[in-house]
Amino acid sequence: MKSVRAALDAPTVPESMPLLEVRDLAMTFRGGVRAVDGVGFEVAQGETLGLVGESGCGKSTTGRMIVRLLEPTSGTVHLNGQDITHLSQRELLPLRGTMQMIFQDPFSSLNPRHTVNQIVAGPRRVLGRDQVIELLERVGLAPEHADRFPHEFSGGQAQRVGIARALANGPKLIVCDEAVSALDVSIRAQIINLLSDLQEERGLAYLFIAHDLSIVRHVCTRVAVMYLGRIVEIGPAASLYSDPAHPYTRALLSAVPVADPKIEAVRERIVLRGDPPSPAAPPPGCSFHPRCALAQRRCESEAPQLREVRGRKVACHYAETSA
Amino acid sequence: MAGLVVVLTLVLLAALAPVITAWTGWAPETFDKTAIDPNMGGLPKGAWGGIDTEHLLGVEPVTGRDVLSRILYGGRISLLIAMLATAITVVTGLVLGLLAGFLGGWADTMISRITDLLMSFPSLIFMIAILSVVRDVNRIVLLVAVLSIFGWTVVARIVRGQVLTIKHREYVEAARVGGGMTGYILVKEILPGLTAPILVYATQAVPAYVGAEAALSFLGVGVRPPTPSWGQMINNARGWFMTDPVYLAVPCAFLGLTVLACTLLGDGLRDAFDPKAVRS
Ligand SMILES: Nc1ncnc2c1ncn2[C@@H]1O[C@H](COP(=O)(O)OP(=O)(O)OP(=O)(O)O)[C@@H](O)[C@H]1O
Ligand code: SF4
Ligand SMILES: [Mg+2]
Repeated sequence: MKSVRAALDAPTVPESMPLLEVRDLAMTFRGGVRAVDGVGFEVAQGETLGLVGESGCGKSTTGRMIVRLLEPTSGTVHLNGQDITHLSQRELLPLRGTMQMIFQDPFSSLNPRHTVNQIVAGPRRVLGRDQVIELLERVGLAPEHADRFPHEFSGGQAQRVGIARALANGPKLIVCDEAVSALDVSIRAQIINLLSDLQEERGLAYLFIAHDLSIVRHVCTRVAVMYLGRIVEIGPAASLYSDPAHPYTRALLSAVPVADPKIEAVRERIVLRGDPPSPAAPPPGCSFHPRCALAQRRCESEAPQLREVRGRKVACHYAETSA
Repeated sequence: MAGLVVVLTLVLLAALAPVITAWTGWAPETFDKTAIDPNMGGLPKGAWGGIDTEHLLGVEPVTGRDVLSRILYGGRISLLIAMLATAITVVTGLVLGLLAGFLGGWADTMISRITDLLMSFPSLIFMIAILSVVRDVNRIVLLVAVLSIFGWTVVARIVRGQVLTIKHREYVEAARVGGGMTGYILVKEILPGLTAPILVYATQAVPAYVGAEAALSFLGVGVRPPTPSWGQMINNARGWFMTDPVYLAVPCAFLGLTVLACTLLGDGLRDAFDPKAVRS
């Protein structure tokens, strides 16, 4: 009896169990839009995974399924080894402290009728006023900001409030859904630095969602590139940036300006033709083929699976030849 | 601001009707044969509908009942009906609109269908029909009920629309992620965003109901004599407007003033709640 209990208490997962594990995640909205179609990845404790792709490719939907604002159509989400895919809101309560979210629009994510104190303390009032003030100071705000309303803040300050709110429960994982995209370039760096400092200090893991690769470059240990609801390339940030294997990754990278003007002047630029197709009617075969410079016959009928190529996973039939 | 002052004054006057009539000495049902001229077919004595220091707003032809007293008591009835109907309308519409917008699915479908059905009804004809068929029921209760049945749909529509937009604001999702349960989200995150449109609606509904009550009483299916109401007074005064225009003008003026003041108040509230105005 005792051994059974012990076995239950200590989950039967290896030491290196990832903090977050997502398998074959899919979301089909009413009307048949397959916004996310079989996405899988892991996020380890203290790590940052970047999730990058054009607008509408399903990044936010993925993030919202992970924090369970949405219930996935299929697939699983494991947090600390626990399957949370279909837990009810009430069952999720104890886990709300573990995973949090920072939203894109700092203003629309703060209730205009609540004070900062109310917002940071949260619906369950997990923090007292003193703790709220302590947190505000940690994210670079002043104690007197506690009694202000969101519209009295600049975008950068409002996003700091959003960060303080996410930290209130002492989370292990924070989904940052384009957390800096809406901010001025000058403020972006400050917020990103704050996020990195907090990560080191508190051992946080981030799922860092962005629509271009330049933002995630400095913060991510690994990067996943999404196209039309699927991951087309996922691997360590360093190799993905220096040697992208998927034609789509290369196109995204070529849109990122290089600091050195000499390289900037001569570097190859791949312009993506047209807009991404609608997720309601994805092209057959490789869904990237209408826009891919390397597309062959085979690409129009046969969907490429994710497979190991040069130390990462790539979904392209010609990933080896295209380097 | 002027709207608020006038509305408050009217409400106060109606509320204090017994005090004021005790002071003037003329109850609404008291006949004053000395104030009318039987040789002139019962017309009030004096040029202005019998206005003098005794009867401040004149007297009713034939009976000589005090018009001020009847206006005050009539205003009580009119405002009571309008406010009750508004309260019931707002509460019903708020609850059903919240359910429809927040729950969605079959709850939304059902509530929306009922709303559509009631809104497509020729409500005035229906009200007149009910009011003239049903007899032995308290007229005030009946009027409130009939006005409310058709009124809540407007509130439900407004609320449902607002909830649908607020529901997907990021701050509501943030509250979810922060562990807020449905009750918290409805009361703390969504309801505060509804107070402005609802208050504005209510200030428009009150004069609309005052007008509707007057119209129904004017048509003879509203409040029955001897209970006075403004619409009923206007109806009575119709036959006298050539010979005693003041008798018609007084209730019309009070009706018009009430509607105007409430509308001004509503506009003022709307401006006060405008987020852009607040921010600047
Ligand atoms: N609630 C919903 N109902 C129906 N379709 C939806 C819903 N939410 C998202 N979609 C659709 O799913 C697709 C993916 O949306 P998603 O918001 O996940 O994209 P994204 O990658 O975050 O894009 P962006 O960079 O614009 O934020 C889009 O085509 C979108 O229109
Ligand atoms: S599979 Fe074909 S179409 Fe798809 S990315 Fe590779 S080369 Fe391009
Ligand atoms: Mg998004």
